[in-house]
Amino acid sequence: MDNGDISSETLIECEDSLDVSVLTDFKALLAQAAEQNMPVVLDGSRIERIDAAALQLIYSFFIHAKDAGFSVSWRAPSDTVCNAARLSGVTEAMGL
Amino acid sequence: MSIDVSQFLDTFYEESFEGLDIMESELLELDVGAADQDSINTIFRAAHSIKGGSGTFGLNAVASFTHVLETLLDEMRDGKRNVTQPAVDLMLTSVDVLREMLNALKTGQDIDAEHAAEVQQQLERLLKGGEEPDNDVSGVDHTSLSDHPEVMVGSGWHIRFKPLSHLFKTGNDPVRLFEELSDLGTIQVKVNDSGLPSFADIDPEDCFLSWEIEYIGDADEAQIRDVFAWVDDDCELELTIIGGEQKATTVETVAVAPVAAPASKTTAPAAPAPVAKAAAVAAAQPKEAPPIAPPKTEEKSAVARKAAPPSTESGSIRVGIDKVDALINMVGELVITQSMLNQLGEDFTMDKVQRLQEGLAELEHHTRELQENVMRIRMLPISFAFNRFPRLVHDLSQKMGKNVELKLSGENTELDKTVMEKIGDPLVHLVRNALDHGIEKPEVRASLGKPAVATLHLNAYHQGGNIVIEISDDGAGLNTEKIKNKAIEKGLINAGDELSAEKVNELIFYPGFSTADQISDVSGRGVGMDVVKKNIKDLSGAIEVLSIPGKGSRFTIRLPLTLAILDGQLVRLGDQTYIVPLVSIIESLQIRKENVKSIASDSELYRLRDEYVPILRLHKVFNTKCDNKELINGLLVVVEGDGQLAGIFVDDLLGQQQVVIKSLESNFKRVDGLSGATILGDGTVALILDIPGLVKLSKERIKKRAAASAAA
Repeated sequence: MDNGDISSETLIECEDSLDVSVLTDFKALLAQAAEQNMPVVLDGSRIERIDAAALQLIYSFFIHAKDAGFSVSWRAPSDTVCNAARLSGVTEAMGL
Repeated sequence: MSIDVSQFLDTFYEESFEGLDIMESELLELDVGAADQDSINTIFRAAHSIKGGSGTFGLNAVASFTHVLETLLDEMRDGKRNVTQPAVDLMLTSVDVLREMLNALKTGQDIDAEHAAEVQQQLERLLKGGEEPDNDVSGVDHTSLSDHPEVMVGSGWHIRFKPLSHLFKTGNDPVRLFEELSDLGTIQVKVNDSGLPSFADIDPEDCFLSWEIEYIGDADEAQIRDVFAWVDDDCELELTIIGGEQKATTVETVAVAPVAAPASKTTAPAAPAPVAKAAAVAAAQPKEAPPIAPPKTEEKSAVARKAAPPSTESGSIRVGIDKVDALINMVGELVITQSMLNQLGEDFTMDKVQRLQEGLAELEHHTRELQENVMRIRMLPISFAFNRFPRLVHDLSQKMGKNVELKLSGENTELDKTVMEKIGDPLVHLVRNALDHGIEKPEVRASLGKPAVATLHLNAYHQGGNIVIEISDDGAGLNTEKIKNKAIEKGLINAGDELSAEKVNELIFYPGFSTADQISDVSGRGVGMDVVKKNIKDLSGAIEVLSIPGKGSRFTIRLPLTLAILDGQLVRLGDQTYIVPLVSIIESLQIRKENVKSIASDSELYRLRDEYVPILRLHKVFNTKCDNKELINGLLVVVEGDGQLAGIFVDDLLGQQQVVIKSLESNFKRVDGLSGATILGDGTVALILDIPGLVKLSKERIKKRAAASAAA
């Protein structure tokens, strides 16, 4: 997972599998992005697998962003992400 | 960042093959016309697990096939469909197809898609031509439905699903559960985040969310609970019926249209989702989500190909936690002893010799215990080998028009995994032979006054250091006269030879020997029994046959429990140490002059109580040095090999110990009279005696000398 700073936003490129086994690193990445206090963009185009643990973490990140006053949005979320969010009832809260 | 799912695939394959074995054995036990609901549930659960797992790993071909099979089973489970013989046969074929598919995926080969599609179509045809539930002549057991009037049918269910915090760590994923639920109907999911900590405090591996789900569809409580069966112990699950009246379920009321196969899957009735009113549900401001209809079948073939497993055998073994715990305890003890010895060695003085000896004895004790426990890990119940026979007997007896009841006993008898793997084929040969040659057709049995249903019995038990496997049948038994004539015809014996019935029966183990009048694809080519005997001998085992004409026959196989470690008696001959397997030793004694008889220049016998035992001078057999050539007051180790006794003359008896067997063939070359070698504590190599081979070798040597002296 790469994190590229663009002048006005922090882009996080999610890799193809986002599940409980990689979330400790992913959380660190999100926390690092949050510290920039800039809009965060999650590139979900490559995600082929996402589980409820990952959805929970991202969901919590969205709440945190709202409280901290920065925005989080998705760039090209894959069908997998959208389906998983819809099945888990977090579509709206995750800005999908 | 990616996860390597292949690391879990082997486990999935193993569990799936076990599931298929369970399905097969339960299907074989299903009584057509009076099917047991528990059996159908067991078969359904196995199919359900395979479907779930294959879906998770993207093995869509397997998932799709299993889905149709599962639908059929589901209808049987709900009493909507009778359990008929054609259906059972088709499901058995489906088990074969699934096994082939999984085997192909496991070994990285192509699936036989044509065959799979053909069987899948047959399943779909059976589904479409579903029987009327009220046309129930089969007597399918509906008691589990009618006995549970609380099973409700309505427009839907309110489901409160609260995972325990560790759920994610068990590998279970709520998303997959919701996906499965959405396969059964329409769901509306609301997430409850009241327990969710702040982003800074959240442990991403713990589950803090819970869900309220409105399910609209035809599934009953049992079906809904089945979806959550894998997380049963890891969540709180509450189901409340919504939008329907509570009434006792009858077979008629649950009779709904069969669930469509994936290819024709349609959207479930899009009834408006009623708002949950269950007061018991403590939903804290759930966030709304749009209703979810059953998804279309997704094309994930590319992913499926990518997820194909490497072509390696798992070579794994499933070990009970008690065995692992015992090992950990042993290692703990060993570490304590080692540190005690280390301490002793740091400032060692001669007054601590006794403590050192005690420590070393303890070390030896713990090492032996550890060794025994490690060996236990390789021990598996013989049911792993026996499990294939119900299907084999079912198929072959149908094919041959024979009625056979297979009895299995002693299935929990344990033996080494390697021995188990190698004994499978010989057992299959023996069972096939019993079915083909031994057991008579029903009309023949009837004319002989025997029960129409023949019995084939597989039994296993431990005896001494061996496992004994018996294959017995109540068929015709071996035709001694026919065997004798065939043996004369083949020149194996002479017409005038006087042979006991047992000796004649043993002729069936000669290469190319078959008395079958007609060669069938089951047996009769005479390539079976000699291979059976050879395979068993290769495992250091033995086979014998007992037969009573007209009553049946019994084959008895004796095998060592393990091939890796041997309990041995160390004996000295000159400057060499040899190992005699303890299981072969009858007794050891000091030779008394009056008991020694010489019958020829080079043949000596020892009178042991009522019988004479040939004396085997090891130094002559192996042409090595020895300290003592005089028998009188020397030591004799009386051993038994292949049913014959022999006395091995040695210089000295040393201790007894377990030795790890090293193959001579793979490290050096095969040597007659020796079964292997081992390395002793002092680093020297000791040779392990092959007692049956040694007896044979000694006889041949005597024969040669006798022939030479006669010629002279």
